[in-house]
Amino acid sequence: MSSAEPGAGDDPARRPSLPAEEVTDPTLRAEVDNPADANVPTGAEAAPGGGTSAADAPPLPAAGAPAELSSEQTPPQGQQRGAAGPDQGLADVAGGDAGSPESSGHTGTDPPVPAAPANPPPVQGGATVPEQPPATPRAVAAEGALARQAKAEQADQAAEAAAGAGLGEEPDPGLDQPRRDLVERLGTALDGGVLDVHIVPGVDVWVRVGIDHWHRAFEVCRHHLGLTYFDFLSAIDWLPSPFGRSEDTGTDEDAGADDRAAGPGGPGELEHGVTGGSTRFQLLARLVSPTSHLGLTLKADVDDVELRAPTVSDLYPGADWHERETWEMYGIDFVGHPNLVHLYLPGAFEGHPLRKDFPLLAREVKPWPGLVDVEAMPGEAEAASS
Amino acid sequence: MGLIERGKLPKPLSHLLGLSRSYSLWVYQWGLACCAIEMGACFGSPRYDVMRLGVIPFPVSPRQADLVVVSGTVTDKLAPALRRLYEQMPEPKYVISMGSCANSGGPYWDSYSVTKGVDQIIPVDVYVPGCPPRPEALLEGIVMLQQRIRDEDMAERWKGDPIVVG
Amino acid sequence: MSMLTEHQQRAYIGGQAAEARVNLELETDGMTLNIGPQHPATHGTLRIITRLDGEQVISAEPVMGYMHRGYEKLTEVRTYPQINTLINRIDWLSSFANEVPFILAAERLMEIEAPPRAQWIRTIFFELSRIANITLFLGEMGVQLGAITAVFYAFRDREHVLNQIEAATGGRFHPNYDRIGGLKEDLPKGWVAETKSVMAKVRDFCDEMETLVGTNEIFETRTRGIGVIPVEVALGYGLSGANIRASGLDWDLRRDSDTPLAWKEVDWKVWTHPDGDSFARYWVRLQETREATLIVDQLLDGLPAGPIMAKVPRIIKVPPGEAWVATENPLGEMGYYLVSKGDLGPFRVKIRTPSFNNISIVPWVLKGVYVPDVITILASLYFILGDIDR
Repeated sequence: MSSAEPGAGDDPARRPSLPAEEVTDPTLRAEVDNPADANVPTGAEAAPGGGTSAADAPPLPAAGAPAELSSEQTPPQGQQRGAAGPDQGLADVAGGDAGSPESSGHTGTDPPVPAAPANPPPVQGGATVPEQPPATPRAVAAEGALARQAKAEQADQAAEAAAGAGLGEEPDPGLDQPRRDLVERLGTALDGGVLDVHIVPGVDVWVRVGIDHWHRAFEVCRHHLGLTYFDFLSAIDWLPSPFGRSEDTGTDEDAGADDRAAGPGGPGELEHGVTGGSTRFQLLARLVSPTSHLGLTLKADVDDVELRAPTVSDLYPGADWHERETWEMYGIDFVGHPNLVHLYLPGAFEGHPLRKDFPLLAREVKPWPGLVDVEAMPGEAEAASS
Repeated sequence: MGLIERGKLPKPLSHLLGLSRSYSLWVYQWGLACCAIEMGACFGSPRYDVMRLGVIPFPVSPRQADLVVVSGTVTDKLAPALRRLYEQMPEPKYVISMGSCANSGGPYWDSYSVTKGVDQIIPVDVYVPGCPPRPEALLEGIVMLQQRIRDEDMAERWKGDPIVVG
Repeated sequence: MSMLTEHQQRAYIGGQAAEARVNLELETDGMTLNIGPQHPATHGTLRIITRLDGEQVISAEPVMGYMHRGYEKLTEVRTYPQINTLINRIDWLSSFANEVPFILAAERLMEIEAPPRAQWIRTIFFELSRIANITLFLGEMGVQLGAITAVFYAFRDREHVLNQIEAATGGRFHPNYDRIGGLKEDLPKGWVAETKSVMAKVRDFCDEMETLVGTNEIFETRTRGIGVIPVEVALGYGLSGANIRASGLDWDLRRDSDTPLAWKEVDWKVWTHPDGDSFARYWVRLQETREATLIVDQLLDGLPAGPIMAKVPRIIKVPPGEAWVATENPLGEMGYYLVSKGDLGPFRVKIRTPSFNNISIVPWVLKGVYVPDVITILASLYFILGDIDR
């Protein structure tokens, strides 16, 4: 960096840890501070789980292994409070310990909580008391009955986790404790709103919530889990495309490209992804923590008839355009959105292009133009001529 | 100028006129996508330096332009604006369609929002293929357009076929 | 966050108006100013409808879609190799960087990993495309502020980098060099030495830009304190890349995410700036370009030998599953949410482009600024239209 000799004015930049208050407009800074503080009481009222430890609830109520899932430890809570250090982002104020879930993950042994699926006793650890009992696993399991297969996987994972924890060994890093903590805290706060969870250890985590809990889930993520970075919001249409893939080269046919297009059970059978689902359209959003760099993918089924979802643009202003795009591309209505108008397409455009049953007319009227460029392989040419 | 438009000018005079027109082409840059960067490299970089060909890439308004280079993907939403731009240009006016997207839709041939070729909206004189074309290809297109302008009979202006570089 | 923005904006506008005394003394009328769709300051076809009160912007609403090409729909009717060609053209200034997260997502689902040499070369090209992209910004920013000279330097030195990309991949702009499982081909002979000399040239260019633009008094006056974005607001809008690092957040996916690329093997620094204004964004990008040349130099020194392609089937079929992979592209976080059902092509690809989020803050940040600053702020946010509209 010898050549990087910034001017005198650049000196602050060499000290990135400089408090931002010194450089930004003090007026702005004051305004920034207050609302976040103001959010604390409202958030805490509505979200008993936000301030509490994850110990008091089985938030991932996999049908098979309810008790194991609740085997979260109480001791780390005090440490967590301490660990919520100066490097916490401002937005984490409400969440307190939100920014460093991994700090809670590997501390000490995990005393297994006795199986109490009906109503686990509230554990009064740390400074907070849960205000309402968490959901019973049974109730949630009934709600999530639509995705049994994925749940079974989850139950397996949970059983493994419990096995490791019960022996008092070091948690296996493959179990991805930080992400599990994140999901458990979300589950606690949502009080039965989590329908399904899928964790790929060390990689990613998916959570499917009920559409009624969609807004609440964002609120919890934003204010209590420290997931303040808005990544994207979109949707998936799980309908198998009635047009197939429109691939008509020889290679594609060999590979059976169009066999699957209709789906194993014929057109119309929905085949959902990692966290299951029951409807054709599914919302998809991703939030990330800027401090721990953990991300969370949220999903929610949208009712096929109503096609309606609550907006989250009041929580994450960046969601505004993403919801406009989703409305335009899928026709999903976002209730409460301030300005739901066309984003990309001209106003007169009809249809919702990303729906699977929206045809690409150019493909209908003429075949894949790559066809004319196809040259026979050397062997094939000889075979054809002979 | 009425004489010119009716093609009644004596041969030496029309030749001289064509020569001078071909070397003072004011080109309006209608940069849209990837090709706009290659057009920028062609017009704005010292390496390709379009001005040595007598092409001046600085008109601030289509009213002052003789030539427009449509470089990049034209979408259905943009098409009316492009049409309006073309209508604002004074005659005689020329259009270079640069890149596969402007020529035919290119890689977006089956998209629901892309216009499949700018020639559906405005007449095109020179097609420069490529995705994106190298700056040299655009230079060649300009040179070929200059040749056409030099030999052009104004009365016959729209009878010729478009040029395809390459 | 909504509470924050409205309140903050009122204070901000009131403060600026009081400071300038423009609205009070001149009693100006409101008017609507349409910028674009074709305007030199918009790097393409972005249209911004601004409501003005005198010289002050009351509201600004970007109108997009002039470059919407329907990528996400097209990916559903293409095979994986075809998509690789297509997505080169999303952010056309750094095409190779667009390929990498998609390929990584497909590789994750297929559970294959490219050999080390391929990962290193990928990283080199990733950084080369970063240089090719940001050098143009460093010049363009000058143009936006009335200093035309800078962009000629930028085009001149960018050509060196493009030459290197072309020498190895065959494409100046859209290399289409990345493959599932590795790379198209190995580096040509003499490429490493040549690239090192180009990196030295780029460093000289950065110094030149720093003296010509970055430390220019007029430039500083026009950019310092203009378009300040606090980090909390930036997070809510999903700003990424240099835009959020210029607001003081130390977050770089090259360092902070688990990609198999080789950034973790070399020694480099994430640059941040606490101010969050237009100058900070320029400054951070300038440092990042210089840092990128150093990364490339180190990678070239330590380039491992070996194959460049893992063993993959002749016809690429990705097993069913869902994967999200994001990388730190020149403009910010670019990611692909890939849903596969085991076909030749994906079932659904959600393309998360950095510029879309970066530019969604425009209505917020333009509120209350003056008309000349609109251009400064737009230029400093640095977006590419294809990256917004997809």
